[in-house]
Amino acid sequence: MDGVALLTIFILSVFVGFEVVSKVSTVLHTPLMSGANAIHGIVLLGGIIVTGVAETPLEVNSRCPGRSPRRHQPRGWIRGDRPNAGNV
Amino acid sequence: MNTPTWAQLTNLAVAVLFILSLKALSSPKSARLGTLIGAVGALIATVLLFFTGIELDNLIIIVVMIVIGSAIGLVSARRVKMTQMPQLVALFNGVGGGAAGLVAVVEFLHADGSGSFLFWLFTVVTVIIGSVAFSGSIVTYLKLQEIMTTRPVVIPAGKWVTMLVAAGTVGVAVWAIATPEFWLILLLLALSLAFGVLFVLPVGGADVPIVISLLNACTGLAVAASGYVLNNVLLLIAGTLVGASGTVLTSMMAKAMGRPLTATLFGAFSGTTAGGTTEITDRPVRSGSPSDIAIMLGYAGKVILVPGYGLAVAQAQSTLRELADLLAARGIDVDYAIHPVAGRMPGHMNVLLAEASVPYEQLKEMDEINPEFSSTDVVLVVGANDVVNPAARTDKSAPIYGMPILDVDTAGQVVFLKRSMRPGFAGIENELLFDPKTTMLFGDAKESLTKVVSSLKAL
Repeated sequence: MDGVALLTIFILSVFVGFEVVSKVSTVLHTPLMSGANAIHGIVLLGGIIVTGVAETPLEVNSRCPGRSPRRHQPRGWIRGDRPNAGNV
Repeated sequence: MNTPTWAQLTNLAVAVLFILSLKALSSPKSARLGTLIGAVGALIATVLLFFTGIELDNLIIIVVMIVIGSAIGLVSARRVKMTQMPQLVALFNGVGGGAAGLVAVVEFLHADGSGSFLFWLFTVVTVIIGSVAFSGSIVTYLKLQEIMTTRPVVIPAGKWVTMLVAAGTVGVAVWAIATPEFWLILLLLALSLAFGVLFVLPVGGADVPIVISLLNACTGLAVAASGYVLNNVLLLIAGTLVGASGTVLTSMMAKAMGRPLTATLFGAFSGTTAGGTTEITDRPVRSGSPSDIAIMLGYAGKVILVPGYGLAVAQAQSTLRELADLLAARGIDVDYAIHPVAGRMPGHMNVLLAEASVPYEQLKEMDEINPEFSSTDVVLVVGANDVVNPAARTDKSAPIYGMPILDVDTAGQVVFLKRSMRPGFAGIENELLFDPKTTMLFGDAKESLTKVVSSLKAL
């Protein structure tokens, strides 16, 4: 997905985020913060993606030998920027 | 070929679930459903990820880490007392920010020097915001847990040090985008972590909830930026939602506390939240016995209960409810006055009282109850202090000056149940405690309330 498409999604999401909580009463601030906190826990997906392709001991604490360095390629929806994306 | 279409569509559905979850969390009736919707969404997205054909070279590590992380999360969330919830939110938030920062660092290594300008920009942004959220949240956790002082920590020339670190962060960030080298990212990481600490240290105890909310929004933005870096639309949407709603929430919270956001964040630098004391004075106060207080309450026409953090710590919610029921049975008009930041965070007290199944209708918000204090005979303040401190209206030098308070001082008589004369979270003395119409009952809130309840039964 190209940069402009991502930017479009970003901007629209900002508006949705503003709208969705704009009328909440103070009594629900704590639960709402806690819920939002849980939602950004979705960064777990990012962790899985980068760990799944990590190669050097610095990236992850185990070495997977026999791989050549990779280069950036066009990216997919949920995939990181990996070559051989769909072939696994 | 990229991710299969069915996976893309499922991700879209998950994004919708997240929006619905936030929407449902904005109303008391559907809040419980909201958490469930969010959890289902996150579960679907996580399980799905394993079947979309991504590389899973370190599958064992991934699975083991998910198991360990889930176990820690489950156990700590189950064990935490409701009074400690703000700390837990702060801690989890920090961990989320840290994770986003680390994802960006690993992705930086992986990119191996190649990548577009926007890729480097967002990687650097993720590292900075994620690290600030991490170290900042850890400091707020330490403050809330009272491992460190809750008062503003003002380091000498702190303003200049902070500005220097901020400028350094921006400088290194620009440098790292221009020449992506790993040691620059490490330097950036260190500077951002330092900035997070410096940024939260001068914030006073009463303002900590606002900062948690702000850092929550920051973590959301870091996650959104990491979504750009990884080209993952779901991370982008979820992060942005949290970032935007967190920003709104922060400003609403600041408004509820009557403090412009800038005053909260930069107050300590300009000295307006400095001052305050944690010393215990020996000025005379009038204290009464549990039966004195039972008589005052039992023969009143109208009573307002003001629950505070001390009530929550003593786990005296149910005893307070018993007292309220007894008074109501005697034909006395009883209401609970809930300050927006009673407890430690907006809405915290409502959660605690709901646990003791206090009817929602009896909880009156500040704007609604304030005009009623002047026609009230007795106000019973249980473990609250700062939220009824008239200094917020009168004393310009007080750290809480400008915060809307409950106008307890306009009532006929005021009873404080307090552990000691120790000042509240904001660290300032409360003149109302020395007022002639005030009666004090020292001790643990639960014990005191139990004694008052039994005296009341004997009336």
